[in-house]
Amino acid sequence: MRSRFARHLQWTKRQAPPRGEPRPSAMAFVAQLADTVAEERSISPEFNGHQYAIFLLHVAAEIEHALMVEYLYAAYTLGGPHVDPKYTPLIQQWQEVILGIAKEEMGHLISVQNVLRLISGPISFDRDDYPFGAEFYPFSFTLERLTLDSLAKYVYAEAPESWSGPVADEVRKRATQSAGGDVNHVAMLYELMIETINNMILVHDDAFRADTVPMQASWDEWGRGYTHGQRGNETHAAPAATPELIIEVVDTRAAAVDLLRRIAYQGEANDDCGENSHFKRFLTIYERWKEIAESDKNFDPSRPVVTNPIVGDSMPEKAPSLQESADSTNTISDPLTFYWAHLFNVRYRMLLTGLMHVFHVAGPLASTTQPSARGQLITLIFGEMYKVRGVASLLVTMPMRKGGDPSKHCAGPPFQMPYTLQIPEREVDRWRWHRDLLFAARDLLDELLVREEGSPRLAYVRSIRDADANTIAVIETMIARLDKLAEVPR
Amino acid sequence: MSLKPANMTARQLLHRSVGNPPSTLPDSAISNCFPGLEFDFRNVWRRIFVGLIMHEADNYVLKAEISDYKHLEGCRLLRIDGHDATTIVIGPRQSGGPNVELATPANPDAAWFMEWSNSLTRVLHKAGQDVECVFTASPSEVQRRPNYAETQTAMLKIRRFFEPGTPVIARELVEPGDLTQSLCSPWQNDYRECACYYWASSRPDYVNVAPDGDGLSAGQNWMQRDRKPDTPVEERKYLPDDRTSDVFLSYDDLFREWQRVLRFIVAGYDRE
Amino acid sequence: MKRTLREIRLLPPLAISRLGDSPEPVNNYNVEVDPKDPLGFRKITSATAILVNQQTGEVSDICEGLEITFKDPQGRVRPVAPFIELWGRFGDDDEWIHLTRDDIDVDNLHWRVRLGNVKAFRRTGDVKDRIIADSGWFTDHDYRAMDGKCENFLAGKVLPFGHVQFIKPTEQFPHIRFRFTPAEGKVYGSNWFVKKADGTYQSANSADQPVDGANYIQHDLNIDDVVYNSGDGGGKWAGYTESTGAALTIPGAIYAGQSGPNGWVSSGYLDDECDGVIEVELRAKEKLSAFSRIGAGPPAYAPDSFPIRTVYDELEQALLGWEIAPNDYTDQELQKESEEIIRRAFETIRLMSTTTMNGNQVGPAPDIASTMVRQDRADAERAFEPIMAETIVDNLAVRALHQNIFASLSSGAPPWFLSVIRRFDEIGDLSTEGRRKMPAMMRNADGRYLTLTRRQREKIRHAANRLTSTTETKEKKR
Repeated sequence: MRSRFARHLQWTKRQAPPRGEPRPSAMAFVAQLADTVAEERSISPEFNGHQYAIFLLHVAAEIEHALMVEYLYAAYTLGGPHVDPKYTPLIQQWQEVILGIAKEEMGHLISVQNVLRLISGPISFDRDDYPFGAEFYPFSFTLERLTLDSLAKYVYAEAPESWSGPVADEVRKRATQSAGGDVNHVAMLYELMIETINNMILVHDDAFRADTVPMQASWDEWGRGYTHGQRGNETHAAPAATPELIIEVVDTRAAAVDLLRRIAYQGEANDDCGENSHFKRFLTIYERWKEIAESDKNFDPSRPVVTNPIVGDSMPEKAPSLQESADSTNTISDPLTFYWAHLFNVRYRMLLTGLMHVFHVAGPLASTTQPSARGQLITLIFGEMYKVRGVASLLVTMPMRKGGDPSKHCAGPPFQMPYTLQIPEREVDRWRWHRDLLFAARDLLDELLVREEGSPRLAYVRSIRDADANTIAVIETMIARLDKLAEVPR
Repeated sequence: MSLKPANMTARQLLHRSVGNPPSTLPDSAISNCFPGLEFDFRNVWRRIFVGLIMHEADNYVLKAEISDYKHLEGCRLLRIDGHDATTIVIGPRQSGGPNVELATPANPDAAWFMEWSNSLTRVLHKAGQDVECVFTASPSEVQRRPNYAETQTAMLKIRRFFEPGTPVIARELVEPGDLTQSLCSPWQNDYRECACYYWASSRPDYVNVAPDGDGLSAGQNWMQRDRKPDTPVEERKYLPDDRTSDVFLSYDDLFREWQRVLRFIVAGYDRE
Repeated sequence: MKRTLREIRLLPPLAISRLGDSPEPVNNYNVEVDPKDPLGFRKITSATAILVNQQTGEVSDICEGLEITFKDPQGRVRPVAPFIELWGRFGDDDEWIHLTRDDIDVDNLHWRVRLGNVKAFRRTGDVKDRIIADSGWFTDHDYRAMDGKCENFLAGKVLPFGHVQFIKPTEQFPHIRFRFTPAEGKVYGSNWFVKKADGTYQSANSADQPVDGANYIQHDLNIDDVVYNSGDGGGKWAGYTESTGAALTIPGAIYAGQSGPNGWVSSGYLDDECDGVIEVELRAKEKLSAFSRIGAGPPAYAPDSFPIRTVYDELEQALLGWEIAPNDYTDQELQKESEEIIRRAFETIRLMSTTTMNGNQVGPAPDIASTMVRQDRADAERAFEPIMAETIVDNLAVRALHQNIFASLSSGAPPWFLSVIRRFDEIGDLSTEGRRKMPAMMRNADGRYLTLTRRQREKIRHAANRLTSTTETKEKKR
């Protein structure tokens, strides 16, 4: 994790216990922190309790974001024309389960923003580019195709500490082959975060601002019915009550703590082997995969997608050789894939920008009872989610290098972070910002219109372009109106 | 504009004679009939059981055409060939409340009939055969739940839907006048009834729509009198329908002058 | 020597005509998606039109490029008057061909049309209220009026249902055609003057006061003619009253009328819609026969937009079943079917006030519009509350959402949203999540929320059942 964060997380090194010994509980650590504050010494030299809570929430947000994208990537790699059709229903089920987990991570990410809002912290959708290490995660975050090895990592990372037995041993072995050194558990982060927020000395009562609720994300607007498996479980492969998107507004300390506990229980910090946990869902896939692989040596349900694909501003002069290691990146050099990859990054940026904006829209523009600009933004964000999915599904069918065979190596969605997530201060300028990105996308699409002439992908280029044109039309009227309102009468 | 299926007979359902516009085809006619626009297509199911006339929109036996079935008149059909014909209605009584069975005095079983078309598709291939049908033991004005206890059984023959080997609906299923009989009389009445919003692509509702500058849409109600499509966007206001207000066309306007006052909408805007 | 026909057929098997009082039917047009503007409105362009000389019954011209207008210069709606073609084949394995006068002896063709409007009968139960037009068998090419007769009509009165014509094949235009031109869209009644619910006449004077000792009664301006006999020896349609009952139409009380002490009182109006059959017999050495069905309904007021669930979807399901067989479609076809369903969804949404239909409060009080939200409370005593979050349902937002879904399908990705689409047996689910399934806000034939036909949903399910993009595989049967 980048140094700005890492330097405040050194205490985790102190907390990592020798192998086999129980780690100190977060409660004990927090109690120690509280004592520190009571004695008017500092927790970390540059923080007070409130700031520290916000810091931990930012770290949690990074991890949720990183996991969500990692899982999305893995899910998008599943499938391909090389897979024996007899496995289609099964692979589809797996894809649906993993996407369900990714959606739940998104729910976590959004919920964490709500808690940040509640305690007047800035929202955060930032993260490092892949691959990157994080003090609270046993492995590097990396974008890779789904294999038995990568699956083992996900199982292991989500597993409760108490998990043991021959399968556990095998998974641990497979997963940690590349990992070395101290291993930390994300459960610790969550416990620490929850105990900090729950502590009245570290975070005072008056830090919890119920009047921020209109600025939070509500389940009605974001959940759209993804609850108790009502959606996203068509194959019934996942446990019946999943996926369960947890997104709630919070107005008190108790509500915030409860929300964070439920998030922790659903995901990584689960001390339980409950059927609905991410751990169990990943484990089910792992076990079935192993079973099939024992009788079918050719079983490989994911496409040959490279690890950590990236795209540079200009095409490389020579096609770089492809690296398989989880810690390296692979630069796209096929001219067509190049443009699609850039389009992907622009859509991802628009999605993140939309998220930044929607948490900042306030006042009459942000009505909670009638359609408003905020509703438009939410729609824009979902639109970008669909485009992200669509472009990703194309990228995994395309070659990495010119003349390359996508059935041997194919590209993937780069998910490269924009250089900034900051948005302008004035509302009208924020809409200009969105328009700028749409213009950038339009330039890429114009390029693709020419390059994809005669290709089956042309229809999609035209559709996106049309959809964007409609959005631009709406935004232009908003900019005109906001400019007019801002005019100072002479 | 449905895509043409491989099956020849199905393709003939979409046959467009030379000179016929697309609005002559069945894929331009709505079928979520309540009661419908071009047809009340639910009428096609009334005679699906030989010997009975069922209600077109309910599992209620309207009439027995054979004296053997007289005792079924007024009864409700609960199961057809092993499949439920009704389902239970659930939902919250209060906003945010738990989901419960939504029984009412008029519907003590919280039961609801599932439309014929999707229900009967399971048995149409058994045309000419008898299927087991479970009815309420006695006539019932109210709807009954799927596992209602007091029942009687009858073996009923399924009528064929199409004339054999052809795409035309069988003679014995529908007689002249049957497909339109339960529509509004006159049809102009239906255009004034608010339920028409549900078929917006046939009977438009929100027209002359453009972005309004607040990121939202601005448009007009198709039933609004004297609207001008070139009204500046910020002045376009959609008023929800009100049958008594002068702002909107009245029933009388429609009976007398529908041709003049209702306008065709092309590309979302008033045209003629 | 003419080959012997094995079988004849009238196509289309179910044709829809649309009312209008212009003497000129609408010219043929095509409605097609512009590939360069895939999310835009379908484009209306001129198509091959047939001009008929009504006097002679012959086709006077078949031409292209005619202007497409839906009303004539006088503002009258141009009716849709469909042509029904006679097709035949000579052997079971032979292709169907559109028959010409060279294939058969036209003099041996006999036609008969029977149309009915039994809307009054459906309510009153009186068979004498059935209005039926029967042309009897004919062979000529006259522009023949189809007049609806009814035992409960006044002497000499008929209700015109339109015209039929056996088009006369000529050397220049030899194909066998038949045409139905619907009626003008008039309203007919039972009395020249308006009655109140209690049966007394409505006063035309203000304040119900006599003027000069005379009490003028209100002339009924809604009707074009009085045809129905509501007096002695007549029928009960005028004044017919219904309130509740299992045998009534659902919805009930949907005839023109007014509120009375015992329910909704009919004004005795009738319209000139109808439906029926067109029959043909080829009376040669061997008799061959066929029939097709026809209906007359209102104009399609948004001719460039199509409904989500249509009569064709019902017919296709009845014909082919709800299950998709392995060879029914290729992956690409299933993808296109899924796209078409989504396209029709946004075609409907575009013309709908989604904010209102969602149950948002759009006026000074809640619940001022007729919506499914109101129906849920009225039918089931469900809590009255909007279906979706109120902030996200503006028309442009909902449109954009569906267009983005459509766009994603055009990327070739398999549909991912199947669980969002309501199943036929989920109509009872009025929970928050259940009501948010798709299609949303619209009514089903059973009065609850709209579902697709099972076959439609299966198409999407099958389209979703693959691990590849349609852009990477060649078109082949599954």
